[in-house]
Amino acid sequence: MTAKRIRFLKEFLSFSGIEPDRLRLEWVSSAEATRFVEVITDFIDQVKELGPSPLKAALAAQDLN
Amino acid sequence: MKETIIEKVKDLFEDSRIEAFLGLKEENGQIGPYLFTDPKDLEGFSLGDKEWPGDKRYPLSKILIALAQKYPENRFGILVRGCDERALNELFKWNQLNEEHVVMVGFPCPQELAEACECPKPYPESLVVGEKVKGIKSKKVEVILNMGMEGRLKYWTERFSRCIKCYGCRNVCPVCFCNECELANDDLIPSGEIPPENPIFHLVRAAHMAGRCIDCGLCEEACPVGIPLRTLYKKVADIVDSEFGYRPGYQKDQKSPFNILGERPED
Amino acid sequence: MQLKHVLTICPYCGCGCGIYLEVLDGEIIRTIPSKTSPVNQGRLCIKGWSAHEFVVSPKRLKRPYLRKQEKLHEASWDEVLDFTASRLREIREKHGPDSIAFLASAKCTNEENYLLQKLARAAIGTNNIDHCARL
Repeated sequence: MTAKRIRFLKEFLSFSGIEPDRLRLEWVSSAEATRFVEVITDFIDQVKELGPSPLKAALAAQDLN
Repeated sequence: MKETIIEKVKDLFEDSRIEAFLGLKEENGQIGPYLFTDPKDLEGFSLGDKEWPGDKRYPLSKILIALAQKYPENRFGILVRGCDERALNELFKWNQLNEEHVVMVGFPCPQELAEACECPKPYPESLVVGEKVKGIKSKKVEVILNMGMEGRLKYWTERFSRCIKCYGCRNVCPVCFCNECELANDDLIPSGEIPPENPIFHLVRAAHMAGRCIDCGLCEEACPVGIPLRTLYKKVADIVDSEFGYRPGYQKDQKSPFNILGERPED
Repeated sequence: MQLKHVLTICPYCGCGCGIYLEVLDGEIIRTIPSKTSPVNQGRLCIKGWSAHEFVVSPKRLKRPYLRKQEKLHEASWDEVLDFTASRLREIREKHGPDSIAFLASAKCTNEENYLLQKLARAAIGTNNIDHCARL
């Protein structure tokens, strides 16, 4: 069910103007500590590359009007 | 068209197939929902057209839920357009209404309305009168898609920032029937804040429309600040269709992909 | 089985939005905005959408009460009116008419609101009168 929702949400975020790469679904068991670290580090890198969320700027621009 | 429908409803009463008929009635120039329990009342029966076609539509299927909950043994007739029929089909699937106790009396929308609604199916299967009208593909979704990522964000944040949190979109929605609404949860959406958290409030509602929204457009008509909700939910429906091959309200035997557990999809 | 949609005006403010009260067997269960009303054209604010709720609210006062020693006691109309009148007179005599203010309600009729301002201006002698729905 979650996988289905994520599939939907990725497309939907894109339509709302938010990069879908800011959302990721990974399956990590509580026994896979190393994998957990890998996944999180990788995702942090990915989000850093994307930069700050454009949402904040868009909302700030809204307040000015 | 109206006369044929009135005759059909009279027949239903006469054959004891229904005990009451939920439709619209014009009284003193005002068109509103009306429960006909006597065929003699059908005098002022209305299809909901006044200044232009379909400008006085009401969420009849939603009204029927309250009625059927109190009178589960009774059989009701109901006036339906294409969208109303899709709403009812969903409500049957979600066990909000008993299909065997509902008789749909359907009529098609005129081409003019189909185009204004960008309705993919402006007629019900339960047609008792008129011809099937050609469905229209949405251009409004296309326009937003062409704005690019930045343009789309700007477009929606501006629209959502107008929200006065009247809950009209939810209140009027024929497929919104949850007893507890997440949008009314004080911990998630603090009361007294206007506009509600942008864009969370509207995106949450839109996500809840996935696999449910039957594209009737009553939400957009009820919105006091003109947020293009219908276009947003049209895209929601398009995504669910392209990803899972499902469009709410069309197939009676097919359930929403979010209502059934399935295989893990390929990444 | 009786389901009625009663056309009326939203009681909350001066806009005067047209609403249908959905009444199932004598019980009001929903508010639906009127699409034929030229004022709101099928739209409402959050207060309008919940315009029917106060009717059956358990918090609604149905009888007059009098507060004695910090506690509310049920009382007769005569008793509460006498008490209110004598206290208003006392306050006016001691502190002057402008020490009293009146707040009218959108849930009252035009005529009732007229009478309240009459009471304020003519009987008490103050212009301190306002309304919850001043927009």
